[in-house]
Amino acid sequence: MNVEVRQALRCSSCGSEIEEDVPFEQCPKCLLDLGLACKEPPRASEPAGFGGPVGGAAVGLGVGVAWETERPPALLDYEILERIGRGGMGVVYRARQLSLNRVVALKVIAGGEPASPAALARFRREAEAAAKLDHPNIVAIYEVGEHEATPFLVMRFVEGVSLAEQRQDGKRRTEAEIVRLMGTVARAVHYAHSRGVLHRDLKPSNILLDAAGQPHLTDFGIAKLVGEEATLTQTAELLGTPCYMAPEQAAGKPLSRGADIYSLGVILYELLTGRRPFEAERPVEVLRKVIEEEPVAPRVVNRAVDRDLETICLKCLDKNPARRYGSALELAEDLERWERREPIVARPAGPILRLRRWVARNPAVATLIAGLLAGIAVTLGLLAQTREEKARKSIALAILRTETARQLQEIWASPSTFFGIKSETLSAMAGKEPARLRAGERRFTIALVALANPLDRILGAAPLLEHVEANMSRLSGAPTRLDLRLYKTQALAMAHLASGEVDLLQVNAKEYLLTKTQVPEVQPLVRIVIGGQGGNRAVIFTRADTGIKTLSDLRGRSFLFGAADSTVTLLAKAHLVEAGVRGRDLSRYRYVDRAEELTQGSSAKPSPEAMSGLGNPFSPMTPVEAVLDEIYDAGVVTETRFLQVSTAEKLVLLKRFEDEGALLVVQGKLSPDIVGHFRQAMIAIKDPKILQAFAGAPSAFKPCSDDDLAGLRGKLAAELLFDKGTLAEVPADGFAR
Amino acid sequence: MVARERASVSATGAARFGTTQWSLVLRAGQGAEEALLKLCQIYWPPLYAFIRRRGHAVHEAQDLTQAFFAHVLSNRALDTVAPAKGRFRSFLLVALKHFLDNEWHKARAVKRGGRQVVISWEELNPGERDVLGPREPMTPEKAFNRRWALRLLERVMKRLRSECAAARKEELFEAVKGHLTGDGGGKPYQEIAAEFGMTEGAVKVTVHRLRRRFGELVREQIGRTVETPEEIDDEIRELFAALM
Repeated sequence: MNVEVRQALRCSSCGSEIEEDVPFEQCPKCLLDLGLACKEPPRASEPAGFGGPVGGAAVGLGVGVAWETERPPALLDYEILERIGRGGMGVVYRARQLSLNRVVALKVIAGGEPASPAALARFRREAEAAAKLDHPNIVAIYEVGEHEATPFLVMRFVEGVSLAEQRQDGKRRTEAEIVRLMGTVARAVHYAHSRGVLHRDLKPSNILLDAAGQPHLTDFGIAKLVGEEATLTQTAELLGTPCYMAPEQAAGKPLSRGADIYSLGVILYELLTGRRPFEAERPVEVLRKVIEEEPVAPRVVNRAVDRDLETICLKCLDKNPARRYGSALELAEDLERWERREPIVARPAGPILRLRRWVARNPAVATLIAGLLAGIAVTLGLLAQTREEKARKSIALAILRTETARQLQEIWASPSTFFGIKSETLSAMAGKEPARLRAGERRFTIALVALANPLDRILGAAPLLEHVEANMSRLSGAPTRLDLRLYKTQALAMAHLASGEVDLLQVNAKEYLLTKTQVPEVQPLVRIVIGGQGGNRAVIFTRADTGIKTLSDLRGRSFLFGAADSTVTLLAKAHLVEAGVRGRDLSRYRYVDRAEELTQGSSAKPSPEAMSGLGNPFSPMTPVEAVLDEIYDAGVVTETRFLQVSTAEKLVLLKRFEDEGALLVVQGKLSPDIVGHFRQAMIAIKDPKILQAFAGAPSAFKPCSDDDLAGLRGKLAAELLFDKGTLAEVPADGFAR
Repeated sequence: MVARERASVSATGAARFGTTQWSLVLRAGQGAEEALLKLCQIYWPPLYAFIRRRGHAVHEAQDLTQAFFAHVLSNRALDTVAPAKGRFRSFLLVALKHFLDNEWHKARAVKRGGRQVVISWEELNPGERDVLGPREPMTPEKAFNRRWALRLLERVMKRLRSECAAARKEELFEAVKGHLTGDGGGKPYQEIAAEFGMTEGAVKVTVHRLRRRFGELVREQIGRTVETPEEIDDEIRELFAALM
């Protein structure tokens, strides 16, 4: 089919794509917007329409405008003193208002250029909303005007710097100062809210600090009257700075006061920890994080942060606006309670709430928005080279919405432990049209386990499985389909592999070996090799201040392992045993995914600290944090993670070792031919983009046999020795569990 | 009749409404047929897009569009879908749905008799015909509204161009039209200024005026399809949503 290839046109104003079927070259949205922008009647001095004089040099109101120069239009009553800044919207000057002989801030849209219609409308709204506000902590607007296409705004001049500038200068505040400042800001925001004005773009650069350190809110640049029907919001111009943007704003949904409260939470977070909750190189990546990820708790970033302030902060940052503070006033009052050392009203979210948040958020949001916005779309687009395929990508996303989201919702709400997704649906997700059902077609089922985001898992796997199918069909000469099943737990997936209900399974090496003892027919297919720095390696580490120098020094100390059933944990135990340290020699130890703590003497109670963050798969707490927080003396993590933090946090490496990592294994009833073809089909996949999309971002698949796992097999006995204490209790074959 | 006469008077201010109010035109009986025909000719693409989205093939969709117009013009549409108030867009959509669900097999016979040809498919260039094909999945309603918005803007663009032509500024219009939606969308101002022997400032003022005029024309065009001036903003917003 002949498809005309046309470079996608983008609107220079709003950035959206100008679709192929638009019968003119301009952006239809911005053109339509002109209909709203021209609503105000033209001033008498300016003839309406095209009929007026357009040539000649002298144009304007007779105030000697010089468009050609860099100067802003000379506005009759104002004498420009100096340029003091440039914001997203325009240039701000310090100016003298001659008639009243006062110094004012004069804000003119960028450089005296005629504004784009969207910018003009934005400017007008800014004026309209902000001019109604009269509050000591909100910068007053004196006058709003427009000169030809250049609107200007005259505001109270605040002598001082913005919070952003001050932070750049490295000024640190005490928590009490931060709380007082944010309390004042929150009250000012509440005042604006009570007048029906949302700020919508709260950030440190919009908070000016006067000489006395008092904050003054400015730049109601995208403020909108609450209740007024949306106009330019619908242009979906993502105006504000993504870092401070509420998830609903990032997703282009209608906003309420909650969005401002969220932004206040981000500012508070930043002041407390020195970091913003979601940062990334590209704005789109920030948006994805804002929508999808839970913020790292402030105390994880900076242990010095007060626990109550962390709670206040996280309440503001809740993805669900309804669970944030009901008003900015409530936030202000909680901050003031903290200041008075009274109990705050906000409660930290427990694991159940976290889980509920996840369930509530993921199916809908992750599917609809994140999938479109972020890397997932890129994953889908990998194979969609032509316009047609791109169109099908949209279909794929539509399928996602209806099918997967519904199923995901069900599976998380119900006790069911897995859900299946047909090869055809997967093909659609990968941007391909599924081939029709053909005679002699063979179907297999591959099982994957998803602990966290199931949708990511599916989307990441789709392009890979698509290729495996194609390779299989070619190698075996029979059309092959690969259906996917996503399990909640490894154990059940393994059981289904053993029973032949699924044919392939991704599993960690240790789990495989254990299964092999009971179901000897299962066999390894390929090893999933992780590339990059750190790769498959893991390290046992400690803090610099523990005095631990070698593994043997771990006697009498506490230790945090990774997931109980992981290969890393198995290998770590084997290394400890080799160094003469067994479970009973440690003062206490536990696994990140298990709540109970194993102690030397049964009388020793686990600390409440240890119980709070760990054991919950949704906890941001990791071995690194637990060791840094002195909850445990030592732990084991992937080398990648270790390298990220080791220098800054002065961690000491005790032992580095290679992790066998994950395997793809097959059930026993498949014929050797098919197993061979599957192995070849997997190994043949070399495209790094496809591999990286798959969970864990592997760099390759390598053939794997039971012989390759002999070394690890030997370690199983060592693990038993660690757990049981004496070899006498270890059965001769070393495998009984 | 009154409506028609006044409609021909150049539209100014509030008088614009009440003169071309579409429902008035529709009710004015025989005399209004020409005006109605004109409106239909303007707004055929959204109807066609809707029918295509309903799954009808190209030729069938052409036939159906044609038949629908014949149906509307025969005034029978009024019997079934008489809007007391409302927008022309909604009216046409409701009438079309009704037509597709109930009437079209009857109307087909009429059309085959060749009562009146509203759209001459042969005269359309292929691009205009083909571009209505499915672009991405969207409901027929959305396709209808989207096409409606594009058609409207296309008309306004044409109109603005001819106004410029009348003022002997067509070339200037072509040069600056890239700036209609914002700066940076076309040839640099400086180049245009040099080309037309104007100052850069004058070019910018021209752009500003063209933007305003474009906006006015949008409102005027929409004004013909709604009942009250207050509805114009709503209509713009709805069309906006269809473009998202």
